[in-house]
Amino acid sequence: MDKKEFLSELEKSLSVLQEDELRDIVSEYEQHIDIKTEKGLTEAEAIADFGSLQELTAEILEAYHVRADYAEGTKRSRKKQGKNPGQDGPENFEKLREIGERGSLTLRGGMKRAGRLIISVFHWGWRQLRRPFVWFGCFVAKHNPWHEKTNEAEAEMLSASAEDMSAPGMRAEEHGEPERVRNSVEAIMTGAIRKRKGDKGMASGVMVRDRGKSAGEGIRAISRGISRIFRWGMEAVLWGIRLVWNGCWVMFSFFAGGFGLISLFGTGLLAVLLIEGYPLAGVMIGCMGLVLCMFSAAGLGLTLMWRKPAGEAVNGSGTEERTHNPEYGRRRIHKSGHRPGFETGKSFQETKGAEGQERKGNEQDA
Amino acid sequence: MNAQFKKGVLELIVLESVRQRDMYGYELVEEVSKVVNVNEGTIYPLLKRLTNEHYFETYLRESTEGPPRKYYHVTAAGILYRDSLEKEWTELSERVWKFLRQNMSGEKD
Repeated sequence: MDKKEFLSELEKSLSVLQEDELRDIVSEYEQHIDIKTEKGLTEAEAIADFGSLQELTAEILEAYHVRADYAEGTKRSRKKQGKNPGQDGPENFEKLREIGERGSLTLRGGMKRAGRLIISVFHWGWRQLRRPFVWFGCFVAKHNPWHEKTNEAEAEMLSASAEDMSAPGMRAEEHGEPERVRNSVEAIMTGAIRKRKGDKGMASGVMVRDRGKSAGEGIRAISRGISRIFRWGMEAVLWGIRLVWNGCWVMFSFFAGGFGLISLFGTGLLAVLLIEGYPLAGVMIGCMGLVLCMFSAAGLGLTLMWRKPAGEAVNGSGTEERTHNPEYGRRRIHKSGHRPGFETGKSFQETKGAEGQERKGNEQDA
Repeated sequence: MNAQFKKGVLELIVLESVRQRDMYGYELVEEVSKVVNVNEGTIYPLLKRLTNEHYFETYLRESTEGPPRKYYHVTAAGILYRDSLEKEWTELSERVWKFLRQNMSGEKD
């Protein structure tokens, strides 16, 4: 057996070892054979001094705490499977990656579903709590003796004002006016009705009716007040719960992050000691795991914080925003960019008047 | 010499040789061969094991006669291990020697 043959045989029989270790061992034996041949021995004689290759392999593997028959066994099993050495690694890695991705997707979906469920439970609870007060308000409104009569009068006044408003250049439908604008017009008209009613207040029957109406309104106002107080109370309780919840998670994240930093520092120290030659590889890996765990926990804590829904934020990019227009006397919602007059702060009458004049001009031109 | 005897004492001889001065593989094989007749192939696995267990550390040094050679240097842990092995060896050899002398004197009486 010559040097090349011996080294290739040795390499094959030690293929279970890592690449760099294998190269290190082979180079040692190669150097040994070279020195011996320099001193006048043949390659075959130098190799014969090593003894049996099997025994040599067994001793080398024993130095690595590997069973001598393991290399043979793995060779056989690979032949059976028809795989080359090194193929298992990437396959297993791919499988692990797939499993990890699937797990993370499932976890993310589960978290989303759980979040939605919690929110829906809160909404349901809030509706249930409000229900008796809403019912009470409706009950009071329904059993008001003057309710039907006032409604009839209001309907008359509304129809009269609606005729005025349906004059050419004043009709909302012609310009594709949304339903909400019509509602605001109704609100203006309701104000007008109330003014007109004040003029008739001299008649005695009307006085009695007004008294009854004011009593009904008083009860309604009380119920509305109670409802509002209850709503404020609920909001305060929710605010408190959110404060405690967020506070807890912030503290948790703070401590987890701090502990993660300490672990990172410890990992650095262990790495230095490991380079120095201390057998601390296992402890260092554990410490690195701890660092990852702590930072992940800190991240999780920050994610679990209770934030306000994004829909409440005010922005100007086409999302819904709340404005208060003093001309209409009520709070209304519009989409930014749909009505130019609203951005410039013009009132409805001003906008309508300008449009009507423009149309008249166009008709005259025609 | 009995192979089991050699196997037991080989570690101590290698540790003591490297403690005296840093050596490369072939040099060490020659040094050990002066004390016990040993198969050359068995020294390298032993050196590897002692290095893996942090009793030795290695470094490369340029050689005038060929490629750079890997030298072995004993660590503090290696010296402690060598001392413990020496103590065990001394105790064992003393007991065995004592036992043998007693038997020999008994036979004479």
